[in-house]
Amino acid sequence: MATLEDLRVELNTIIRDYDLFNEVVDRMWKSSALATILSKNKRQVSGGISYEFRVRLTETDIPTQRKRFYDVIETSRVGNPVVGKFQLGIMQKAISISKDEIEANKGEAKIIDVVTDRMKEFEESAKKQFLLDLIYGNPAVDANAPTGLEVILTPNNNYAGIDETIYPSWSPVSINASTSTYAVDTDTKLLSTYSTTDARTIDLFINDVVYKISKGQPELKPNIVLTTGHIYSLIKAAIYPQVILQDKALVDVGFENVKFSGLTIIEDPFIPDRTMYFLSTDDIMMLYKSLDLNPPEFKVEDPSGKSRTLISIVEVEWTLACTKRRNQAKVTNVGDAQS
Amino acid sequence: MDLSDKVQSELTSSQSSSQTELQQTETQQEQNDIQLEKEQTETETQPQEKQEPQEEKQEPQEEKQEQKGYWYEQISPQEFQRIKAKYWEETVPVVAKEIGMNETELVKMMLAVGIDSPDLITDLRKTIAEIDSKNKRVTEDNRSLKPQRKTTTANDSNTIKGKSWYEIADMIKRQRGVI
Repeated sequence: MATLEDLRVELNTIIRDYDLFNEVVDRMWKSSALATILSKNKRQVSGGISYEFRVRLTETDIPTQRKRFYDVIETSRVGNPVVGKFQLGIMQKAISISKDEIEANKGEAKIIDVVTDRMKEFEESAKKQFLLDLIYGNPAVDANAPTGLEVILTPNNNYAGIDETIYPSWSPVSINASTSTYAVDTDTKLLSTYSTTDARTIDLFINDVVYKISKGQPELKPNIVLTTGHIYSLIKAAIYPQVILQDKALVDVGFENVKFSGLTIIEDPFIPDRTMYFLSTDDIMMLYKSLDLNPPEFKVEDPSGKSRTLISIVEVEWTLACTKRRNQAKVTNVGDAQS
Repeated sequence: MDLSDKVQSELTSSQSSSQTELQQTETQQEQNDIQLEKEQTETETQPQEKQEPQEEKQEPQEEKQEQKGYWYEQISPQEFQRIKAKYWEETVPVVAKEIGMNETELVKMMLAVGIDSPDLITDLRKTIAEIDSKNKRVTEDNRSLKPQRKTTTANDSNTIKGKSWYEIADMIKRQRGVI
């Protein structure tokens, strides 16, 4: 009869041979359209739990040429570059198999079922946690959390350790749609359910936001608009009579999107209500530390001496790192307040 | 009737054709026979006496051949090092991978045929590709075979990428022989 130790060894062998933990983490990186886009800009951190960078934040406006110098370089020729630091967050998941479960599932085939079932649960849990952290992760609230887009897109929060009152160009663009030119009164409110916002108005609005970010420089133009499912459907309905173009790379991996006014508009399940993110994804890195070559093994945990359980603790360390924060914008109060 | 008898009868018939020829052939035969006997005795005595020491000597020789390679007789170690350093990092791994050969084997072969220029390497690559296509040699990294490998279902069923966990469980069970 197989002992608990035999089962433990067998479990670990299956997980190691088929690299199941890394497969779950791989699936997690591609679990939404936003994650898929950002994971193209992934960078592995080899040592430590933070990533240090240097940025030159002295902004120079030359009105005649519309040039703004704003760069992330380590060999700045003007002044001393500002040093920022991105801290990796830790997502920890404990996967356990109880003694009762092991006893009820004897035989190798049943053990394989238990392992894959646990991996499925781990994947679902990791994906949900990851997608939430991608938007709402805030190290100021939870010391172990990675940094999400809300922190990056909210001004005056000392992001990456750089003070925005000293360096105003480190502040992201923040726009309130209810007070913008295209939403002056309730009847003609932008993307309101009760008004018929046409494609022309949306186009003008998007271009207005883009201009506020880029000041007319094409290389500073955002490439992605991330919004809620509700606003996404209103935009889609407004531009439906026209030709709808889609980003093929996203469609290929199963994410619907609309290409409109030079931007790829996508929906995200976790984005705050009445919000649109205008992102320049080339300037947002996804820093991560890969799992070790030897995946975390299942170990016997026996705290009470009665119920013996096999437990494995998986830790995924990652964070978002925006190096050009001024190229990102958050638009709030779009459409109607949802009751 | 044996073959030897046939030969003898033919010889006798030819001998009877002319006596002068016969005399000549007899003398030649005698000489040949003497030589053959000498050679036979030599070959018979040599193995008996020298077989054992030869076997003992052959083994270290083979070991030396394995260690050094036969090309050392044709090319100096300095020259070998020079050529190796020149092509090892760039050309050799690429060619070796392309033709599915060990890098060391390839260097051995190149040195054996005196290759020391990139043009000759490209010629060698072409020649090997021709020979391979004739012999239909199947190698892991042969590029021409890659599309065929993709169409096979055997490789696809061995990867867990893009599979549901139910399918993965099924695959693991099949591979571990519990289905």
